[in-house]
Amino acid sequence: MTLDTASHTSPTTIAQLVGHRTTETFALLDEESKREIRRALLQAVCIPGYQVPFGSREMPVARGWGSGGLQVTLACVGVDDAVKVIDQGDDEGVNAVNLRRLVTMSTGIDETTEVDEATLIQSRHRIPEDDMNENHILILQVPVPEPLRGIERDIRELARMHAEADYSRMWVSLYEDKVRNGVITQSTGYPCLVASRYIVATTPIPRWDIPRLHQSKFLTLFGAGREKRVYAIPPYTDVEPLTFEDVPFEVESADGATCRLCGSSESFLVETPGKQESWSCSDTAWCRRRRNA
Amino acid sequence: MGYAAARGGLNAILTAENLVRRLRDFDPSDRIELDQFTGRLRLLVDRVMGESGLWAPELAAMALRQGEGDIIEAVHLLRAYKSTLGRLDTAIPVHANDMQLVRRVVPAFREPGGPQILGRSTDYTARMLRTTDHDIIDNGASTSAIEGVLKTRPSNSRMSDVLRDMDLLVDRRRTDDPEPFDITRTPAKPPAPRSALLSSMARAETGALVNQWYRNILGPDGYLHEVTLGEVRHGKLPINVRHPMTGGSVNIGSFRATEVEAIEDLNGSEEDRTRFDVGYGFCFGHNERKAIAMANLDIACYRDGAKSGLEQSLLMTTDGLDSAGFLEHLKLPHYVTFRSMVERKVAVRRVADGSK
Amino acid sequence: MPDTHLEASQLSARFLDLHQSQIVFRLLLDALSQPGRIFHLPAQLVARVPVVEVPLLALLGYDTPFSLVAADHSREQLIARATSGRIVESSEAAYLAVCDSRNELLPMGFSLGTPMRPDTAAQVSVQVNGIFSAATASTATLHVSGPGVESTNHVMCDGATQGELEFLLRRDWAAPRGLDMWIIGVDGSFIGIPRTSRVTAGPSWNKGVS
Repeated sequence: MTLDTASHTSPTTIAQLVGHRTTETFALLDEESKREIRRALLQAVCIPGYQVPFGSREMPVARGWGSGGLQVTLACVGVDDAVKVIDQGDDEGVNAVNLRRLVTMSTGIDETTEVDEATLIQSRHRIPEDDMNENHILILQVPVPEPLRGIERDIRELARMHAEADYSRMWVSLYEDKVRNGVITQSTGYPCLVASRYIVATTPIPRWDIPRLHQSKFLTLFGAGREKRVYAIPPYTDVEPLTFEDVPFEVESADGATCRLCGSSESFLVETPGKQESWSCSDTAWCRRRRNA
Repeated sequence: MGYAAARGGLNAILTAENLVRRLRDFDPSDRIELDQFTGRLRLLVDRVMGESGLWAPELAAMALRQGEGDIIEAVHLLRAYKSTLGRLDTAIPVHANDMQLVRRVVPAFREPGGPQILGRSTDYTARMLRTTDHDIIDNGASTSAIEGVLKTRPSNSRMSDVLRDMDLLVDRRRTDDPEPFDITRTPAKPPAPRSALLSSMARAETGALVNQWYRNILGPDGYLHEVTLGEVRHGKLPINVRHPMTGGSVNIGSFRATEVEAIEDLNGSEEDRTRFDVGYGFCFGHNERKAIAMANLDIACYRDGAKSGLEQSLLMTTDGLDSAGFLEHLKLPHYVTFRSMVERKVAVRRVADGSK
Repeated sequence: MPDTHLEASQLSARFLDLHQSQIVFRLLLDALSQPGRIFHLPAQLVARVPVVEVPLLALLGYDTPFSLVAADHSREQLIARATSGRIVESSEAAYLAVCDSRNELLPMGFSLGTPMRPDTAAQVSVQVNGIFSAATASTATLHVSGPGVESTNHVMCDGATQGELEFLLRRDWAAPRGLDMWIIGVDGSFIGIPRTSRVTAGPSWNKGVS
């Protein structure tokens, strides 16, 4: 119930005692929870790359399965939004389908596979190949938000390193990696410096997608439900993959392979192993549109 | 493309859901009624409530039935349900001495003040599996005797107070009254106040706490020793809230809890070796092993003084949903990340081959 | 009796339903992620409550510490009743609404966060005496750059004085510490200025002139 009438009688029910909290639910979470997540997101966009702690709620999907991304989406979503959800670039991935229907079933909003029809795009491990702009919010699911986890385990020391921008050990570890292996072996979730201040975990998106974050036209929000943090990269913000002056940042190479369905070599390809190698676009919607064009 | 076939994702999910429902709900045996859980599997229900942080026996029974007996699944259902509920109020703090006891044991003394109530416990029963239909044993205890035993009793004394009177207890009582840390609203990370540690452990997975304790006793990197227990209690506590108009206290219900005080023998070079200290354990329902592990770990964490990673382990690795969820997320598709890893291996090999 | 009636209607006007609070949140989020771009609070809310209060009414939750500066204490209590937020001293507030843009506490007198917890900085809604618009001329102009801005956003605020804006945008902090602001015009037009923005208040900038 809402109190928009002018009458203000003494409360006689628990619902009235509670005041403005309505019994109508929209987007699974109660209003208090949504407001809490929103306040954390507003801090996050003002401190690009900083991991803002928040009271992460338990969701119908398990921890580690996108509960953070889902909470961010649910806190943002309104009746006029249209949502696209992908996993590994695929709208039909089983977990993507599950997350998408949780959003649509609890809000009644439109779902879409097309980037230009979407306003909210929740994704696990990929940035869609299509261009996005200020009408989009990209929401990335984050398994491990701490980019320095490989070099330090103690939570208190990690907090100090970020607070003091003391990232020297990260640089040393990259240097040692290069010396030992001849290349920097970080595969996905490549550590990047955001707005020249915080190093972030870019979630396990491939290196292919990293340049899309730099000076993007769209806002990117990151949700880590299990570790209870959110962070953000605003549009038009510097996102620099950590590397050395004489070691150029390398995206994944497919050695000239092309998608067996649409022929593309300008998208991130995944392979089907077998006697004959076969590659296809990870972004299935992009691939399908290209084929139908 | 495995189970991410084009346009087939929703069908795959619906098929899986139907399969679960059919096999669960249409098994040839009788459907389990909720009162069979709360009446005959009470310890299971209590454990699920404790790990969910939600006192709701009937809902816990529903969750166990829906989850086909998987504790983590039931806890997930309860906690996710809790996320849809608004928070109405905060109860008025109650003193642990207000517990109406159904069980109390005090290992530290032969004749502690106040009642020792063996109560309803299997501790001293012979663990002999009864394989016949005659598992209902009537050993002659009369109904009135049983009722007498099950009647709750107030506690009028606790061991930490006795030790304090004997000047054998280090005094760590606070004089201020800080707000307790709310782990459901703010994630707890070291260094955290003691209330954050206690509430994290109160809601932790039972096995995780027991393992943390045992690993620190016998594991290669542990250094704890066992405590002597001062109190092991199980009983009912009231839930009181403040009336919004009169400001008075109103009782709206009760819940059961297990409470443990662990007496720690101080032997460190910088500790007061002429006295003991106390650790505290508390959880919903009847779950003694959890509360005992908790009490031991509480005092261990204090004595550790942030020297080791114990506080981080307790705060961040003992939640059942976090640990199980993250473990099982490995079943999700990871072919993009795997592709990227393969690419790096090829790159490393190329450099190595090139330099030969 | 008349006082109770007045208060009741003022109170009920301040309850935002869940759709209104979501719409306002998205505007506030966009404003901070695109600093200097002009947005408009929903007309229905602008007509019904003081515009400077709208961000707080949309965002505050149970026990969120807030403060209303340079206004009647009774208005502060209405906000608390409508949101369950907790009234605190302005130095401890997570959210503030400042009714007078010349208030001496702006911008440095509020919480700027700490190096370990920059997210404890205050976010402030400030009322100015003008209207933000894409007009070709105005009494006051801001030039905004930094994260969220492609090169520079030039923002016109007609009706505000240049001095008023300059006062508002004195800043002496090192990000990530600092204050985030929503600057709201009398008609509900507003801009967002996060702590990371570089802002200068320049002379009136005529769009037609290069």
